[in-house]
Formats: sequence, C-alpha cells, structure tokens
Amino acid sequence: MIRVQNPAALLAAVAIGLLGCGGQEGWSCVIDEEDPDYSPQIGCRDDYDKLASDPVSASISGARSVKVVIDRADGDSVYFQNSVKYPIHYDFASTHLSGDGLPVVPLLSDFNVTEYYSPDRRFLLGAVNYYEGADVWAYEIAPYDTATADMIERAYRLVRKNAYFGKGLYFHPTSDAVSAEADKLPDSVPIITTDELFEGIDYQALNLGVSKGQLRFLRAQDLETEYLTFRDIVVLDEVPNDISVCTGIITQEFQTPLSHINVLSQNRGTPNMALRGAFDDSELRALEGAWVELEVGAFEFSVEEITKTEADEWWESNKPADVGVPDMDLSVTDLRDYDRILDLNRFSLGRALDVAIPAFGGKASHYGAFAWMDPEVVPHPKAFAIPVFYYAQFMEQNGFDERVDQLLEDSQFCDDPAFREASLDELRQDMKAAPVDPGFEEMLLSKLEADYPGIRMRFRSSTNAEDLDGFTGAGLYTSKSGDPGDPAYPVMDAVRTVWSSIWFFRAFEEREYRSIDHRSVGMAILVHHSFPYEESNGVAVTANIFDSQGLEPGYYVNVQLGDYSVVLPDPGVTSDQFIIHYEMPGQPVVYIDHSNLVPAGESVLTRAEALELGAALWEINDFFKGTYGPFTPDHFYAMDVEFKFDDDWGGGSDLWIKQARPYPGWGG
Amino acid sequence: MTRRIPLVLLIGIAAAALASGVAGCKGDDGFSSASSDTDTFDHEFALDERCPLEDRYGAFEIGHHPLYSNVRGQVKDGVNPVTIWHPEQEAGNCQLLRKIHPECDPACGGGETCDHDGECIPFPSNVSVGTVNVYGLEQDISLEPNAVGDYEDNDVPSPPFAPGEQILLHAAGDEVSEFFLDAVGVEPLELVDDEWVIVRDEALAVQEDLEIMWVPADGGATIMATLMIDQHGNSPVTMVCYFEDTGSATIPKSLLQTFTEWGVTGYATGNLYRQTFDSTETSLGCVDLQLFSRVQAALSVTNHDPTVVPGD
Repeated sequence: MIRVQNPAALLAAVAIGLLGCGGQEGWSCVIDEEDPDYSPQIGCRDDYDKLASDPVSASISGARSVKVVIDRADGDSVYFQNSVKYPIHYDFASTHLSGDGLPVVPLLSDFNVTEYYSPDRRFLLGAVNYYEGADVWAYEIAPYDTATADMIERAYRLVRKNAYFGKGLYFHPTSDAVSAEADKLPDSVPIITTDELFEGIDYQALNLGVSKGQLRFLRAQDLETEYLTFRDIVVLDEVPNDISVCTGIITQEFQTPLSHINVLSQNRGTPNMALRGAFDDSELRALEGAWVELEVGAFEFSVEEITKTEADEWWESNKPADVGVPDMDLSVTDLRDYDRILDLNRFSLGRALDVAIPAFGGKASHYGAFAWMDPEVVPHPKAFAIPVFYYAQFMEQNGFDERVDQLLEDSQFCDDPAFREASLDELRQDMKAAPVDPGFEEMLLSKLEADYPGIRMRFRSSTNAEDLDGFTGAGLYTSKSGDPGDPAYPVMDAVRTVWSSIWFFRAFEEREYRSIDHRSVGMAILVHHSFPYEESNGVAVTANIFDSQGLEPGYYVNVQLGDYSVVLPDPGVTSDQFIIHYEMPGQPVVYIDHSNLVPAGESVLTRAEALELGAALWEINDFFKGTYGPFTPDHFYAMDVEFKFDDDWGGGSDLWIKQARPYPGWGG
Repeated sequence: MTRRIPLVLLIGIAAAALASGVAGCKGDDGFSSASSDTDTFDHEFALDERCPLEDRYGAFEIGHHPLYSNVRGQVKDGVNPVTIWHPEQEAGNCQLLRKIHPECDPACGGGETCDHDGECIPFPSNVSVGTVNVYGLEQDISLEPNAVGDYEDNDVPSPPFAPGEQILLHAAGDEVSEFFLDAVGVEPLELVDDEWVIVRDEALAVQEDLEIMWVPADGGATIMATLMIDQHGNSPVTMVCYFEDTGSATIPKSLLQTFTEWGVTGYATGNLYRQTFDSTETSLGCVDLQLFSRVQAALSVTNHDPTVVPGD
C-alpha cells in the first residue's frame, strides 16, 4: 500500500483539480507542455503539479511548492516558475527576465542584497505551497524577506487572481518578523499560522530510508520489559526516551529531530517517522506480525507486505557495515588540560583528532578544539581529560576485563537478551563498588584541588568508539557530577559510574549491531565544572536540517527551560525549536515549535541570546568545516553542538558551549 | 579602498548644448548631445575617487560585459548597511573585505533594515534624479527612472564607448539637485589566461601567489580584480585589488589563505575590470560613476570542489 499524509485530503484536492479542468468557476488547465519553464497562470491541479517541487525547507512535512516571481518593472507580470528546473528565484529570473527589453538581472550576490529586502526591489518573490495533510493552499515569502504589508498584499492578490485555487488561498507567515508585518494585512487576506498547519498534518519524516522487517506494535512503556530484535519495525503509541536496536520506527506522536530515538535512528541508519493515529491505523494493524518493507521519504511513506524470503535476502545484503574502532592509546597517562589535547601546531585538525581520540575519546578530543577558537565567541568552561589508560587499569586491576571475556563467550549471554541485560547490570554494579587505583585517585583529587577548588565537577563519558564514520555513539553513555567538598557527590563514584556506563545494555546492543569489538572500546572522561542552576539548555545543529540543498542556510536549535532535557523530554513536554538564519540579513528566527514550559507567546531564549548562540555556531561550523565539510547537496555537513545559558559563572557571557561533534545527517 | 585615477585628463571642458541641427554629431571641442537642444551647462572634466562605501548614496555604471553592455544606476535616500563591506586584511595591492550583518533586537519590521549601531532604519529607497543624459558614448542616451526607480538602458552598442573618449553623465535633478559625472572610454579588456587557480596543499595551505595576466593598454585606466566566494549568494567575503594597466599582477598568497579559510562552499568567481571612476557630492550624498570593460575568469581552488569533500 502506498500511503501519503492524508489520502482523503489528497483525493479531495485532486477532485477539485479535475473539476477545475472541467471549467468550474471559469478555470481550466492552461499548460500544454509536459515540462514548461513557467506559466502566468495555474488553471488546474495538473498545471500545479507540472511546476511543483519539494519546498526548499521542509520543516512542515507534506508540502509541494511552486515559486512565484512578480516583475514590478514589467507591469506586475506574474510567473509561476517550474521549481524543479529552477530551484531558486534567481535561476528563473536571470534566465527569463534579464535583457531583451527588460532590466538586466544582476549577479546573485547583488540580487540577494536587494530582492528580498529593498522597497524598490524589482521583483516580489514568494511561493505557493500546497500542504496536503492540511489541504491548504498558502502563499509564502522567505522568512528573511522584509516585504511590507502592502507588498505582501499586492503579491497575494496577484497570485489569487491568477490561480484556480485563489479563492481558498491563505498567507502563511514563515517567521516572527513576517508574522509581525502580516498583522498589518487587511482581513481580506486570510492568514494561517504554522501551528495551524501542523495541526492538519499527520506525517512527519525524521530519518529517511528503506528497511525490511517484521511489523510489531508496542506501547512505549512496554519497551522496558519487551526486547526488540534487529529486524523489527516497531509501531509505538508514544515517543519513548530510548529504544533498543530495531530496523525501523513509527511513532504515533510527532518527534523532534534531535530526540534521542531519532539520533539513534541516524546512528543506525534506520528509517524513522511519525504518523498520527498509527497505533490504531487499521491498514497498519492488518500487517501486524507480517514482514514488510517500510520506506520513509521526505514527503511520503509506504508500508508494503513482502515475503520472509525477501526480508531475509534484504537483510543479508543490507546488514550494517562493521565499524572499526581505533585502538586505545594506553601510552598517555597524564590528566591533560583541554588546551593541550589537540596539537594544531604540528598537525592539521583532522590528524590531531586522529592522534587524540585513542587516548582521550571523541568528546574530549573535539572539546579540545574550543581552545583554538575565540573564547569570547565560543565561551566554554575550562576542562581537562582523564585518559582511557585509567579505565583499562581499573578493568584489569579488578578482573573485569576477564569477566567481559567470559561473558562474550557465554552462549546464553549471546542468545538471551534478558540474561544479557541482567549480566551487564550486575557487571556495572560491581564496577561501581570496585576500588580505584590509589595513585590515580590521589592524582585526580590533587588536580581538582589545585585547579578547581570548591567546585562541583561534571564527569562526562568520552569513548574511543564515537564520532566514527557512520557511528556517532551519541547518547549511549552517561555523565555524573562529583564534588570533593560534598559527601553527597563522591568524586570516585562519579568516575566509576561513567566508566561502568560503557556496559549499559543499550550501548552494548548498539555496538553489537555495528559489529564493534566491545573489548576494543575504552572510556576516557572529560571533566569541567557542572551547571546545577542553568537557565536553559539545548542542542543545535549548524545546518538547516530541513533544507537538503543548502539554499536557505541556517542553524537548527532545540532549547528548553532550565535543565529539562530536550533529547529525553518527559511525555507531553515540548521545547522551543527554531531555525536561525544567521548568515542572512536581518538574521530571522523561524520558530517550528514552542516550549510549553514558558508562557504562551514567550520563548526560552531572547533574540539577543539566539544571536549570541548563532555567532558561536558560526565559529564552530567554520572551524571544523575543513575537516568534516563543506556542506553541499551531495555531502551533508554540520556540527552537533550542546550548549547552556547560565548566569552563575561570570565571564561576560551567559552562554556556555559544552560539546561539538559531527552531526550524522538525516539519512536518505 | 579607493584610488585616484592616475590620468592626466583634468581638461577643462565647457560642454554646451548644440543646436538641434547638429544633434547626433560629435563636436570638435568636447561633448555634444544627441538630444539636448535645450540643456546648457558648464562642466569641467575631471575624474575623482569612488565614493566611500559608508557614504555611497548612489552609483551609475557604464558597463561593457562579456555578452552585452548597458548603462544603469540608482540613487537612494540612504546607504544599505549590508553594502558597507569591512576591511579584514590588506596585502600588496589587495584588500579582503567582509560583509557584516548588523544585529538588531528586536528584529526589524517590513521595509526596514538594521544598521551597524543596532538600530532599525527605513530600508533606503530610490529617489529620482530627473532625466539622466549620457554624452560621448557610441550612442548618446537619455534615461528616465523605471517602475521601481532604477535607471537602466540595455539597448546600447557593445562596447558602448570608444577608447579615450571623454564621457559625461548629467542628471538634471529632481529629488536630488543636478549633478555631473565624468568617465573616459577604455580599451576592451582581454585576459591572457582566463583560468585562475588558487593552489593549496592537502592541509589546505595556499602554496603560491596568484599571478594574473591580461593584454595591457595605454590610457592609464585602472585594473580592478575581484574574487568572491558565492556561498549561494551569501558572499561573506570579497577580495578587491587595484593594479596599473601593465598586463600582469600578483595577488599575495597570504591574502588568498585568509580568503579560502572563509570557506569556498559553492562557486567562487573572479572578475577583472579595466575602468575609470568619478564621484560627486550631491545634495543627498556621494554618487559615483564607474565605466568599465569586464571579463570573467574561471576561478578554482585546488583541494576544493563543491561536490567533493576535501581530504585532511
């Protein structure tokens, strides 16, 4: 079965189009060519489809888009451009509306300085989007466009006049700034908000891809007791905070792109989507227990029954590739300040990371890059790293390495997930109670007393098996606070807890799925002061993750009040999600969702804070670009950045950057 | 960066309207007018520097491009803050300029833009300078503002000027008082090598200066080279160099290193101009005129391809 977001709505829309072709209200199709460059009018749904593309930014799933150019220098001529042939306005305008009696369209850099901003701009630029789920036609302008209300109204009326769907056309403000201008529009220009569009949409693509597996239905709470297999495609009633390895996920609730289960899906390369009503969907329920193929696309998905043979053949040829882990470097034994982790005087950044990660793990090594950035732009806490040597020493001195060997050779451990989880739990408890080398303990406490006196510290996992090609290892391990001056936060308990988290069941299963040798993985620790009273915390990606072409560059930010988690939210809790187009004039902030922990109409970050964060993200993105980038339509590049705002630490900024690592992208 | 044209062309000229009977003919003593049988003015021919970016209220250009020529211009009631590029680094005859987006909190509304003091200001709008006549071209032209207030004529011979000809732009005045701008026709520019390559090693360090060559010409015009990182139109930095018209010039590798470190996502472009400049203070602010012949070079950067991940 092929499913789209809202079949009923689509059918209705098609029906409208067909009726339109029949001449309803005087409209009929006007495009004869199969692949036109443009049309001055849209007379029916067929016309629209011949011109439509996916929207540049797909933050609202299930839309099709036709870009519109209105030439004010030529009597307000209207052009609905073929948005596949000409993905951006400039492509069309420079090809068709330059010279031959018309003013010359300047270079793109000049065009972009005026045509979205100047009151004297030659063109009014926008798009007509059709949101299939909501069955809504909407005229939109770019979120950074500073068109006045008069200009918006003029463009709206021209589009309305020249399209068969004109009478039902809305204006959809795409940013707070556009929304403020839209407040000045007359009542005759109906407005629809992003929230209203979301209400009408029932499909959300999170991680694109194809998978074949057995369809299972589970309640999120059942995941604590039920074990999934690598070959399950699971339909869930809610968004769980964690899920063991499976080959596809469908949640009934919408997710945030940086939610833990989506990060896991990205790590695994497995499709992930949300579909309202999925848990009780009769068509999906009819396939419960069957082998199916799930395809998650940016704008539509499909679930089709297949045979077990087909599923087996697919699995054999699509099993995840083995991930090689760099050997632990046990030659490094000093507690190293973060500004000496990367030797960029000798090596390129990529080479320096290669040298550092086997000793200090991915998190600490990438953190070391902050020392080479402008601290006023990328404020970060002073830190040091405990090398992986002390984890290996701890495992050996307590015989845990031999115990791991025995477990891995135990057939029950390998075959029985319940036994495996119980065995790993027992191992972790024993590790938390085991003694730590006295020499190491003394060295660590001396370091804390000398460099961080009276400060509660955060001990953060940093393995050598993360940020690898195709395996980020994000969210698998744990962090713990420790304070030498507070018996409630024993330092060595924090160290042991972080070390033991390498044997979390979820982490073991993820490594197993990628055929990573568990014995080759070691745990270093990144240490800096803790943030017990933060005002807000969040995660950002230095790309507009809804724009695969890089045409509307921006940074995606997910931020929440206080220490409420953005990646593991409590049920029903939403966070602020926005794109900040930091490199666009006016630096517009486009909200996708709002936190329900702040009063309606307010946001977690002020605009000043969002701009401060934007500057830091720019710097981080630029610093790593030579190693992991650049972003191109064929190569996704972005950095995944954790941050907090906390006014307890002085230093002229409340912003604190805690982590940066390469972001895996969104599949597909 | 502005640079005085090193020409000895400061010739006093009285350009007067000719009798209608000789319209379209070039007078022996200076400018003639194809159409102005009523204009009379005295104007001393002289070239001046280009307007400073922060005071550049208007600009006209007489351009000879690779595929066409045109005359265009506009004058506004303010300066768009985004067009004020900020000097980042200087070496030799070149300067790296950075585009800075000012920050405003709260964000500016429709029809506004943010200035470098963090204040929202009205987005500069076109103003009328009345009829604009250009004399001394292969074909005299007369411009009126179009529907959005720009002056533009694309129906001109290409190239539109003859080398060495003195050219006068006269704006009759309307919302801005009357003004004059001068230019001198230049030889069409021709590159000797139209492939400009910035050579980097695998560590992305620029290895050598960029040598550019063109066919030199007499007349003392200035050669301007621009290198721009497009980044889908965002263009965070641009490099501008000014050279004498000797046929070759060097762009220092130290500047190219900084230039490439700004990122070369998207498609970089290189242009070379042979040009003359002039400017004048109007009742609103500075307005300049650039006459040029432009050629475009294929600019590439080794170890960078928009679709290939560089090694490290």
